[in-house]
Amino acid sequence: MILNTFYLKSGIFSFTIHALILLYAYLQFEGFASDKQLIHKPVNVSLIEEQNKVVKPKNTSIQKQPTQQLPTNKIEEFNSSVAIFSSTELTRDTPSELQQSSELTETFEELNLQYFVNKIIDSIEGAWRKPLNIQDGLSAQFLLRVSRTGKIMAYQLHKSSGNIRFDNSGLSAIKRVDKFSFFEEIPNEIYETELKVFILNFNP
Amino acid sequence: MRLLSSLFILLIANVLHAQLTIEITQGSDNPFNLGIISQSSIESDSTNIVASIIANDLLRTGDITIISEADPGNISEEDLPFTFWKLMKLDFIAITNLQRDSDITLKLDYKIYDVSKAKLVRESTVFGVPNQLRQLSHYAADGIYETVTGIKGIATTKLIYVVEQNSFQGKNYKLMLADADGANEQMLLKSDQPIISPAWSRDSKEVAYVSFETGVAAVYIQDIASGQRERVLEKESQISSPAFSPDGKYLSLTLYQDGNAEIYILRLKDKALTRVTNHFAIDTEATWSSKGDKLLFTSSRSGGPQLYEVNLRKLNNAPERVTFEGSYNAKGAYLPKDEGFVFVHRNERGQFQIALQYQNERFVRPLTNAKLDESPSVAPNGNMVVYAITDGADSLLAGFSLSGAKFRYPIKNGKVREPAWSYFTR
Repeated sequence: MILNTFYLKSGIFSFTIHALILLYAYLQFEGFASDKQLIHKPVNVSLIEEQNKVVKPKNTSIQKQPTQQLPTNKIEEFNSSVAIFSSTELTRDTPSELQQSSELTETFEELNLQYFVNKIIDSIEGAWRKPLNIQDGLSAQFLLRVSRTGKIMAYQLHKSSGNIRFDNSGLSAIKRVDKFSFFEEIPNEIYETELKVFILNFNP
Repeated sequence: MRLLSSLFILLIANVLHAQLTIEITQGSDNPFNLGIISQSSIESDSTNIVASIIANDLLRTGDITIISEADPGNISEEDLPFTFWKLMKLDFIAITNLQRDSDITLKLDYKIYDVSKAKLVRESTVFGVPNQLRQLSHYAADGIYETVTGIKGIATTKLIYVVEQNSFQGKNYKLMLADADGANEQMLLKSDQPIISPAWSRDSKEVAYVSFETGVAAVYIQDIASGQRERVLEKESQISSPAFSPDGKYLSLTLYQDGNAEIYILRLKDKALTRVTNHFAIDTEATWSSKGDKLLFTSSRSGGPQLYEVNLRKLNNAPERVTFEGSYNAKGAYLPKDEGFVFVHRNERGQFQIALQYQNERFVRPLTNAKLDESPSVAPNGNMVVYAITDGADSLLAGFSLSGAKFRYPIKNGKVREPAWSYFTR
């Protein structure tokens, strides 16, 4: 009986430990998912930004304070992270109107991104012919590098669907599009951060 | 702690590689709409032949619909009527131009325009002599198909098959070679004894087959261009289903020397035989995977015929059953990248049809609906299949594309059996 209780206790203990590890892993992976931006064509989406988004630095003088302790050669490396850190500090202290206006710009940029992403989706979908008699649930990812003028400079199969006809159909849609006509309208910042290199996921 | 650190590394790696992912969910199921304009500076007969061969080659793929009346007449290259073509909902326009190149040679130019962008996307020329009109057309058809769909065309590939004829002297058997559209037939071998199981080498220069011309079963490998052949194996007992390994160094075959059908591999260099299966049931019709590491074959070890795979790279190469739906699945042929296989499946109504099964699926996708379909062979681009059908008294060849087109080859004098589609020839 004593032995059984021992087994029971150790069972419960082991269960708790494993559950904790799994929970931790699960939360981490949930974290991954939200890190990755995934943009679909919106059906009815309101693009209101959440409060906690980090605002890009506008005031350089704020950066001085935390960089004082750092040797100069390291400043460059740390600049971006420090800047973000300090600017979040800044927004906490600033009046609410300022905060709102920066949110507005943010929303505007997001809108813009969504607008151009939709245009990309339209171009690719217009050129794409889905093959028949393929497995259900296939998806293939292609990594694209697009020039500032919209020309698709390079593309590669990032993740194969396993079906050569399906992969081919995506490839041929990309080849057929060849150049996005609207890329010159894209603001530099959006182009550099989001649309210079991106992944197309063919996922019918 | 190690778990935590590895998770942390994963997280960092992921953040660094976080790329904007754009989801593409909608695409058209329809074939591409193509308009073909045939121009020529020589006699109109040849022009019509070229135009019809190209159109038929493209229609058989199922990926392209040919829109007639795309030619508004008198078009000039400087000012092509793209608006008109857009209204006709054309995706592409192909303009072919057959010209005399010299006294004895012809050239066929073709230009392909993407209508939505009003842009030339391909311009090519093929050369040939007048009796190669078919070949010229097939080349142009493949060029157009590749540009439009992104898939390599098979109009320039070949078929081999066996024709059995009844004559006054008795039966005779012919091994025939033809273009992928069934035209341009040539005889490779004629015999009054059966010829069975023709198979292509991967370079499409040689064929292997079993002939009973000497009274016993013998496997021959014949060079198509020269007609020279070598007898690589002869047995008193039956032999069937030779198939070249992808590197061309081995033949897999079915031998009956042990009292029942077993699969062997013959090394061509020294004619050494290695036994692959060892079972009292029938094991036959082996074909090689694209890398040559696996054989797909038919076995009755579970009662009825089913498809099995054996991994040749493993020491313990116990065959694994791969088909489970229905009581009859036989004569499997891999798709080009082994993502699935095409085979003969008997449905619950007792009809034999050609079906497809993908490696990651356990169910059968029927692709034909006749009663007696047999011997499927897959085209090297994986998009088309040729097979033999029995329709009343006729035995003939038929084909379909995975994109939905169905077609029949012309009826021959005699029964046509065991078609085999070549690999790419260019």
